[in-house]
Amino acid sequence: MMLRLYYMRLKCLFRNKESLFWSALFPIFLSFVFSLVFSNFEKEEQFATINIAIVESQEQSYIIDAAKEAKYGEDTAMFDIQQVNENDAKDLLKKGEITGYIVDGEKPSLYIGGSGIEATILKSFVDNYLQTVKKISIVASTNPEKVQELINGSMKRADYISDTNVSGRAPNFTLIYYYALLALACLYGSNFGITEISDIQADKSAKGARINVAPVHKLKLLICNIFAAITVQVLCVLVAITFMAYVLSIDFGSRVGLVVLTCVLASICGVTFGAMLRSVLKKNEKTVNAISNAAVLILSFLSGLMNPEVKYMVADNIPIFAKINPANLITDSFYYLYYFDSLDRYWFNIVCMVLVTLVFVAITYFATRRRQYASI
Amino acid sequence: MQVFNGYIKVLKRSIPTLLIYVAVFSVILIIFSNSGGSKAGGTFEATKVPTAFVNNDKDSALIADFKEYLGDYCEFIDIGTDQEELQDALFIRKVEYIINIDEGFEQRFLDGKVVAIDKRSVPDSQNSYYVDNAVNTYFNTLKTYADTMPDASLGELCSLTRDTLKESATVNLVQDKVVASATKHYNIFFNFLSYLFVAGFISCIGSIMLVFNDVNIRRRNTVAPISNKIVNLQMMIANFIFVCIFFIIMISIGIMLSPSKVASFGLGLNILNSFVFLFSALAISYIVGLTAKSENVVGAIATIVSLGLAFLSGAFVPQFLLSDTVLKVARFTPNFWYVYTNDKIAEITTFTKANVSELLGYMGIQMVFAVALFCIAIVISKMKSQRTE
Repeated sequence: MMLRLYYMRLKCLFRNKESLFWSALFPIFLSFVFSLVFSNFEKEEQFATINIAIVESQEQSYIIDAAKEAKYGEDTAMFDIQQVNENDAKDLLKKGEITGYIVDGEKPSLYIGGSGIEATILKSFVDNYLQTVKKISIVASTNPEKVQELINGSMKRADYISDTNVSGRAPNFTLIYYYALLALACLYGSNFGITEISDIQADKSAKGARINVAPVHKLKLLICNIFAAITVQVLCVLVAITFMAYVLSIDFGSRVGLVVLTCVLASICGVTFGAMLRSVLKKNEKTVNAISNAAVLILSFLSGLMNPEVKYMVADNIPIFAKINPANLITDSFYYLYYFDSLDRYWFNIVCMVLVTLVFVAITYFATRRRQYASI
Repeated sequence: MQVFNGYIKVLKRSIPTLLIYVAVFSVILIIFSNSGGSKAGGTFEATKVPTAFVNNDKDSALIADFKEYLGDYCEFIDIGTDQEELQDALFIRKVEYIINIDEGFEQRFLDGKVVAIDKRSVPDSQNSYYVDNAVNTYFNTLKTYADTMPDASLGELCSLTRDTLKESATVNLVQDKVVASATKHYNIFFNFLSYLFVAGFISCIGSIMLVFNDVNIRRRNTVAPISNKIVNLQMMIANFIFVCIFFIIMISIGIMLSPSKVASFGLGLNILNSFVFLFSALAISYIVGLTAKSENVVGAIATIVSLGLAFLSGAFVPQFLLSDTVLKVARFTPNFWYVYTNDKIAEITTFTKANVSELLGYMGIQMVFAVALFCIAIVISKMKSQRTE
């Protein structure tokens, strides 16, 4: 009997092609957009040549030579230099045509328009120049014969840093976006949850009224329907994950089984979240849909969907919320599977997720049980 | 004005839905603005980077001096020496940089051997490049002195190095600091607004239009003795009034959150730019309202289209970080031009006729998009009314 109800419901859900299409397509499309957006991050920092001006330069100005020599990597020149007087330079700066200008002299000084990566690069260039000048003057006063050697060698810079990453897994900022997107996709199962509860409640839909008259135990029916909804949602999410793992080569770590387990639990969380919302809120379906969409969006936002900084802000300021927010729990679970070797944090997260789901289930149960309608 | 009144009635019934969306988007806006937007902003006053310093070369004067020097760039946090704990701390961002120095480092350095400190950090982070640079500058300078002054003692070399590295350029900011931070805030805020407009309009207007585009209602309206043109016109006016209210609410929030409440020409241009973008967003939501079949679909399309466009156009991730291919594709969306114009406004400190007319040109491009999208919407509307369902 229960199996029959389950299959019937599966058939109903698969008939609603439009909803299914969007549920499955949405994480695929967005993860594809992310992969395009982040494609440049993997490459070396590509900086554009910075426009600057140098004022009051003498005949033989070392700073102009240094600025002309400065390069990113092998061939991109760091600066595009104009030599003008001070007023013109100020003008150019205000119009935004140059990032800053250097006033040459005994000790060059720097004028910039605001902050930004180009201004920071310009400042470090001038700092570097001043420090090199000082180095040369100190060496010239103590060991003058070494000065030429110094000048020749001053362009070279040795690297004193060796980047070590434990077990090859670096904390990867861009992965947070993908995992938060998956969390959003799993929580989108709330739409299914809402439909299930609507169809069970006689006061919420005509279908619900018909079902209440039928000789089927309401709880049995609800459980079968919810399982059907969960199955559909899990399938959608698995399709999305397969796309992300194989087509976009997103790293989920090597423990595939646990990744699938996380998906299943996350989908259950999403569906029960929707069911809880619908059973508790007495408004019409449109409003509840809006509330659920808005709630899912804000929860995902707080787990780092649009900017991972927000996630860390929440974790620092309201750590309790970070452990209750289903989207955050899902995002973190995926991240722990990727980053850590030991599973302690992961299991703790899973337990939190299960607890949150149980809370949703309990609320749904108490809100829908023993409902009898005198008149609808 | 019947259509207009009908629209208002539908609006009143949908008020809870609309208010929820407005409230949620306002909250997201406030939190996003406060998080300082993207990490790759690159501010001038670099804050100290939280760093864990693990020194296995005890009693080394060189390392002690190095650590003192780094104190200007880093805030040292003691995590202990357990590798798992350090990895943990890096993950939860208690520290952003970990330095490990092996035993015998000082000796190897003084002997002229190749040495390196082991580091682990959050990759692609502005802060880690900053500390990398500081570390390398110190050791390179020290090496230079060590090579050119072989008779000097370690203490002398260290103090010379520190002295030299104190040299830094005097920076004069042409723009007032408060104005600069307000400009940055508005840049982030208005860029994010592009996402909000698209998401908010599709969700709200899409769901209202869904009511009017229901098959039976549409048929009844077609039979009514009001011309199609008037119906569409009244709907557009009603939609426009709604989005203007939304616009005013969001802009007020933005101004309230700004660090400086001074009205500047730049702010005026930003507001004008958003107003022009409003039309494109409205046109997109119109199209969605015409083509979607149910509430769920409207919600899904709202999320996909708004997030997709926002990421592609550089609203969340700055445009200079996007690859050329993405930018080429993004040029076909109004969002790209909106964000581009906003970024340009943020760069300029003095507005001249030349740059203002350039900006107005970009806004003109957005209007062209809006007109094109509205034409598509009208075509779809005509096609729908002619189809027999």
